[in-house]
Amino acid sequence: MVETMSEQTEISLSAENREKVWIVIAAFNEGAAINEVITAVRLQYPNVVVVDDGSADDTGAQAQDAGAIVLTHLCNLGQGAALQTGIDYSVRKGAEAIVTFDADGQHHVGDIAALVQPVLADEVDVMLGSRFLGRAENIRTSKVLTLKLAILFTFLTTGTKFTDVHNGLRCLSPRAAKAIRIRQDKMAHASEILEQIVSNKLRYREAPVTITYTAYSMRKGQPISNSIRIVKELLVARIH
Amino acid sequence: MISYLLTFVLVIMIVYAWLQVRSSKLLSAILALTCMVGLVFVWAPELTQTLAHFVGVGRGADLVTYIWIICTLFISFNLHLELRRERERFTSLVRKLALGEDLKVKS
Repeated sequence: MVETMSEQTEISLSAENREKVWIVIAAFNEGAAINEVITAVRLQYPNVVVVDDGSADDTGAQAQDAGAIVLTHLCNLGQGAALQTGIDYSVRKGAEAIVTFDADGQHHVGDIAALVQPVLADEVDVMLGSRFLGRAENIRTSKVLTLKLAILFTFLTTGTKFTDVHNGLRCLSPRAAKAIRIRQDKMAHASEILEQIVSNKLRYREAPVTITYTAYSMRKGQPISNSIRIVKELLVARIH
Repeated sequence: MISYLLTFVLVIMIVYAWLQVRSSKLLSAILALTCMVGLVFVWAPELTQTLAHFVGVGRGADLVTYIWIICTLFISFNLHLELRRERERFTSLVRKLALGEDLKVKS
């Protein structure tokens, strides 16, 4: 069932409910930003697990300093693999809502509650953040065009129209976390998650979120040329 | 002379295909069949010409080249899939280490 919320609303969760939430952050060479991101998240959500994906810098130490639980990949596997590790960990810890959150500071902590609340209320299995229902600050035109093409590609491959794809801010129920298995280690995992939401017939809804592109996040983000690689990976995955 | 050399190489490949039956029966069968057809072409090259005319290719040598290109692409794609499988095992191993699990990786 497809539902969307058209306006960003400020929702506050009780302290008890915030304890049920686990925030998963995949990080690769994010030493410069990760401490600030985790500190902001932990002001509201105490359970933060960072998967240090084989960073060469002090990402792990910075994350630990900021109070996160740090899991370490001995070598760099990719964001998809790191998220799956963090999701596995959160499920074992008894999370009732698992939020994936970017390490580069482009997501807003204030958006999390609106994603978590319907999952905790068992209205949906997955809440997807959508920058096109909300706001994308400082986004480049070329990025918008690439994302629109990705939305079209996802529609053609899943038969489902999402307003945003490749948005790292989402919330999964434990049921969804167990049903979805990320096999795409790198950036194609975002499309793979949407495909599995549809194929597993999970209840989902989209909600407006704000993405703020900074010079740092744009430098850390994936180049647009990656989209061709993502399409190739998704097509090969259909054979294997 | 070249016929003997090619025969030697193709026979080695057939033995190799037979040894790989456990990994993949289909691939072993395809490899063995291709090598056997190659053996026939080595000792009866006029057959390639007949076959080439039959499928609409000008020369027998061209037909062999086209078949070779298709075989190479098939092998490359199969290697790509095998690399993906290996990568999945590797990811599973690294994840288990990160989560502090027992190191029993499914093959």
